[in-house]
Amino acid sequence: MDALAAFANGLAVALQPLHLGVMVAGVLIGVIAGALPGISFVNAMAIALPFTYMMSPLVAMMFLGGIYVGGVFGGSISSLLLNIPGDPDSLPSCWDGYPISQRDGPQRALSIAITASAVGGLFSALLLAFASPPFARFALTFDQPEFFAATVLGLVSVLAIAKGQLLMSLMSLFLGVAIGAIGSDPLYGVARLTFGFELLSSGIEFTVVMIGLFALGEVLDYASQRLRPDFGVRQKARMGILSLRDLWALRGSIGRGTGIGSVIGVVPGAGAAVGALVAYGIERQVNSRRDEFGTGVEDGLAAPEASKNATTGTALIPLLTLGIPGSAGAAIMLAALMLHGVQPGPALYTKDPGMLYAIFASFTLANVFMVIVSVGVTRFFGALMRADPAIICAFIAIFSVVGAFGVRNNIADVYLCLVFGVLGFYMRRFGFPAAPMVLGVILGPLAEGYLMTSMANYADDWTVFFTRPKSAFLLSLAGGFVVWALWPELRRLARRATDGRRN
Amino acid sequence: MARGVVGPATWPKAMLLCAAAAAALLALVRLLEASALRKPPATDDGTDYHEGRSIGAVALLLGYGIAIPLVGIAWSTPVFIAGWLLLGGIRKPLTVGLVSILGTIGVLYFFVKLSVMPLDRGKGAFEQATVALYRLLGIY
Repeated sequence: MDALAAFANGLAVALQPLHLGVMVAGVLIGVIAGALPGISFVNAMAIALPFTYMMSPLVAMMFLGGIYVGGVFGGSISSLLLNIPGDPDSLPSCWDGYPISQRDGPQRALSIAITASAVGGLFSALLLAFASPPFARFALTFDQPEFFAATVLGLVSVLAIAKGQLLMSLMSLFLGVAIGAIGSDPLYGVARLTFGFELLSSGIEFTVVMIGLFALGEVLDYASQRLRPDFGVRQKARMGILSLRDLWALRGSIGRGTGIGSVIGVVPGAGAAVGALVAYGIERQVNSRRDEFGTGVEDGLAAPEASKNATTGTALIPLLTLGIPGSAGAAIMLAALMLHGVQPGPALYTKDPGMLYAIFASFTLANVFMVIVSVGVTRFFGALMRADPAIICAFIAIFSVVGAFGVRNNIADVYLCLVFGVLGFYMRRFGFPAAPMVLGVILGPLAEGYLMTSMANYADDWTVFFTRPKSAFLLSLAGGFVVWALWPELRRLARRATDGRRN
Repeated sequence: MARGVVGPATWPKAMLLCAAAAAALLALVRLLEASALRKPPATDDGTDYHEGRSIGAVALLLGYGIAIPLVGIAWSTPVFIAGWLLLGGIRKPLTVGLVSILGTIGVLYFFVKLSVMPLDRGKGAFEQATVALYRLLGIY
């Protein structure tokens, strides 16, 4: 009952004109960024991050939450109209969605997608509101060693998204953590890794790294390609939501997709792409029309759509209760909270429950407004796609540069951002994943802080991490995760060595 | 303050060692892969890059960053936009001119007038020219 009352209060705050306007603006930006092929909503969130400086933490979270929710769906628009996924998580939507679009018209495919996404997103937002407080109460029993262990678990979660690039992901992660350690250490204030450069003495802002690697890396990659995706669509599309009868007919796939996405969202590092792929794979196994998948089966579109948006709310559960981001979007929201001096964790639930419930309510509303905004964006999509991508990329670059300057009103941050932009471009080009580096830059300093304070509080006894049950459990989980992820790679290595000897 | 077992250098050193270990393991994998297949393993996803455009884009972006404190955002931005559009294959002078000028005015209004960000105005004559431009546009 308390949670219901708190949620109602949060809803009242979220419905205030300023909050509502900011959230809707975020949804609009997210849907547009998600819909543009090659420009992901994560890029949009990274670019928007420094502009949240002038906002309160609550307004910043509403704005970024809007971009996140809208962006996860937005990618489906280009998947269904152009057969080009706007984001990696919209790839499964192409497989059955585009054939539906061609056979029954884009309106039908878009209506299935938006309805399934809204159902998945709404369920996930309500789970966030009502399931995260008990989780936070449990996390309140954590001390520094447990937080260190939880952060380590968050860091190794990057292996879940390594996708055959395990060693490169690990390298990227460790380098990211090392970059995060540049500047003064958290306990003694001693400068490290500055190489005598004054601009490095105050450390490197993770926002700058994020904008450089994600946004500038992306535009440089786009500008350098010989064959670039053609945005020149002239298609006009309309969409609405499904009728209750149609919704009932798709209840199985939407329900399964929502359940799968909600669970996967909680897994740190998994995110919407994993949710959509797993939901499509499972639907393909259990559906009575499984043999027809890929030819335009409506369940094959509804399940991944429901799943990817169902990851958005639950991805914030580990973020808000433990400070572990469940996805790239959630990592940027973590960065936004930290920019405003708000430390996510169980204490937040007792210190500022009003703000949290307003965020939960805003997430719920964002899923409703996503439907309205998407209807509008789809109508203007053709006009938007007529803009030359070079123009869009030029303005993304300018917004990134100005955004980096705005972090500390310091031109040095622009230089660092440009360096990370070029680095991000070459990382992308040579298949070196950038996301683990960003995660390392964000979580590395937290992990180091928890490690050093744990050691200081427990008389330099490093066994404390293994003698305290919760910490030991989390660390063994992290260790198990590393072994599980490394095992196929090591086996492959042994097989190659054997093959090499035979040849 | 007495330093414990974990000093200020422990964490970054450990991370750099871990990164080096991962790099060594990766090199070993690539070496074994190459010896097993008798050819170097593929390193990219098959995307076709245009080297000249790639160097041009990087140079343009870095040049923009270097130019900002010298000539100011108001004068470096239209040059950057025009350069980027030309690099992107847009050749119509009217399009390049209009997008560069109107785009810069939009950026200045948004960031300087609405967001009140103290963007760089450049040095010497460029600073005076920026202030004059801001006055002309009604930003100041």
